[in-house]
Amino acid sequence: MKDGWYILNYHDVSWEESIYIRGIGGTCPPDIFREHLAYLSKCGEFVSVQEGFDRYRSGDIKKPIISFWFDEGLRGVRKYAYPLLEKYNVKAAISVNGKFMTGKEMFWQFKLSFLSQVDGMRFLRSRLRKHGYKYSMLVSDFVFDNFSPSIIEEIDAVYQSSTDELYHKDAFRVFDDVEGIKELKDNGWLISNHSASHYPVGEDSCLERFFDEFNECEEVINNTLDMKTEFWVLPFDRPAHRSKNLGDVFNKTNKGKRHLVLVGNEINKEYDEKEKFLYRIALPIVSGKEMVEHLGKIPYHV
Amino acid sequence: MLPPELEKRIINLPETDNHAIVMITSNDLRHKRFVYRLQKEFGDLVMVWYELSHDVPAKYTTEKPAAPKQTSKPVKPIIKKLQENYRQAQIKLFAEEIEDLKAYSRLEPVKINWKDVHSEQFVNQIKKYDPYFFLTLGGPLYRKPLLDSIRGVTINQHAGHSPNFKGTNTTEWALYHRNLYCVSSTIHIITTGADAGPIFRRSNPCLFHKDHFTTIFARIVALGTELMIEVVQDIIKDKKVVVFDQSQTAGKTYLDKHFDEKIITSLTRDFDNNWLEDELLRQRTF
Repeated sequence: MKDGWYILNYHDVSWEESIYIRGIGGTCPPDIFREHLAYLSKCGEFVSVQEGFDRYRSGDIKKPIISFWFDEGLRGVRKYAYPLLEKYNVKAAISVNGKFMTGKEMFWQFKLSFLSQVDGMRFLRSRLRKHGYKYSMLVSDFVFDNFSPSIIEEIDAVYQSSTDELYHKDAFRVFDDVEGIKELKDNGWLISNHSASHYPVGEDSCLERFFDEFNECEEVINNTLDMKTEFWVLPFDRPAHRSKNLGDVFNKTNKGKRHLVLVGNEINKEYDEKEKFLYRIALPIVSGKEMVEHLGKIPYHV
Repeated sequence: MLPPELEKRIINLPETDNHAIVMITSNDLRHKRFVYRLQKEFGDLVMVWYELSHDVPAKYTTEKPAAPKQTSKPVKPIIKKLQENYRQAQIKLFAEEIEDLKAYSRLEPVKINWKDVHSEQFVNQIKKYDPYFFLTLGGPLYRKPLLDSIRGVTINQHAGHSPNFKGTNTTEWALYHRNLYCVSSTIHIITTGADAGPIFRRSNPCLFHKDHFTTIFARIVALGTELMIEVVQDIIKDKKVVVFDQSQTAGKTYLDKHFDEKIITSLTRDFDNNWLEDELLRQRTF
């Protein structure tokens, strides 16, 4: 692996992948995560995000340094990943969505996964036709490419009619709650802002909601965790769909010293004071050996 | 998760400050994981661990030993190999974790013959602990006198999707039918029927695209243990509990003898041809 700061992007680490997540993927089983750590520990130095960031800014990276960043504030992270990382004495970062952490709104993509598993897609496909959906299209692609409040409403309408309130409330156990995130914070983890509802606010279809979404989440974090965040983590970040205006919009809203955290699948090497972006690497869930091979092919951000 | 298709009702378990736990398991690595995890979570509440074994003589059962089989067939190579694969899958997934969990273990197992669990003496032994929870992983169908002796609730983790797949090898049967939705773990109240009691929770395991059906089974057992822990934690907090009843006519109960060479060959063929990886991708393409 090349010298540089590798920020590895995970979502959940768990023995469970319920029907809310099965259709999306991205959960790493604990035994595989343990294997990742064992392999990675031989390839680079594990550092907290804060330490990695400090070294990145000061240009003091003379070997591979590796940080871990978990998105969406999922429950398995504290339950399974945290104890495993403690064995390596490394603190990670977790990005939370204000509405998921407080049980106010279920992640729309999880609703799609749920509907796909319980034969709910037929109702959604029917409702999406008036928005231009054709049966030859994938619903997931159509929703992303035509993202709007009315599309979200259609998903929610089908989801709400699918089961009852008890089921919907229970589904939030997939996320960690305020007390759980607080425990991570108190144990040295970095807590970051992943927006209120995880809409694709880095893409042109939703860019106008960028500030509102992050600001709303910032208020929730402020009120529940008594802190301000230094890092805003962009939801999704599909590089091919990233808005050309993203940098401008971020800089207009970024009154402090915040950085915007993307995916990008690039290694952080040369810090750019003007850009204020961090790049993470999202690999498929593979074996430890394959992960290291993949990381060897990741390019630098230039 | 909760089963979305089943009718729910609320049961009121007895209020108590004494949540003593008795555990009973078989004796593979997954059972040790179960026991250590429960001890880690519930500490001194766990009073005793009974480990079922055919190697210890029956202490309480006076029935005559079964007549030796007329023809004792050797175990077929395919079955022998599969048993070894199950063992290796558990080592691969759990060995390191179990080393970490040993620090939380206080109890040595009390070994007991399978036949003895139905005896009056065993029931009296259990009553001495006055357990609120009777938690099981593996074992026979328990009988009414034992189940009725538990103050609070008897809970089993079933490596299958009740009510659709009850009995034995239910993970494998769901995979044989290429039904990933029914590859799941069910936590339920123990009744005299196999895996047929009211359900607390049911959910799906996180699968690795290179899994074999033996590692999938191990993952389901690990998931079931975590779900069981959540159920016990919830009950300790609140005795008003939601359960989901299983219809008597839903699904199927599979027996050991149904899981034969032909089924194993079919499963092996699917997994050798990357069915799992393809199916996971299909499930994520909608």
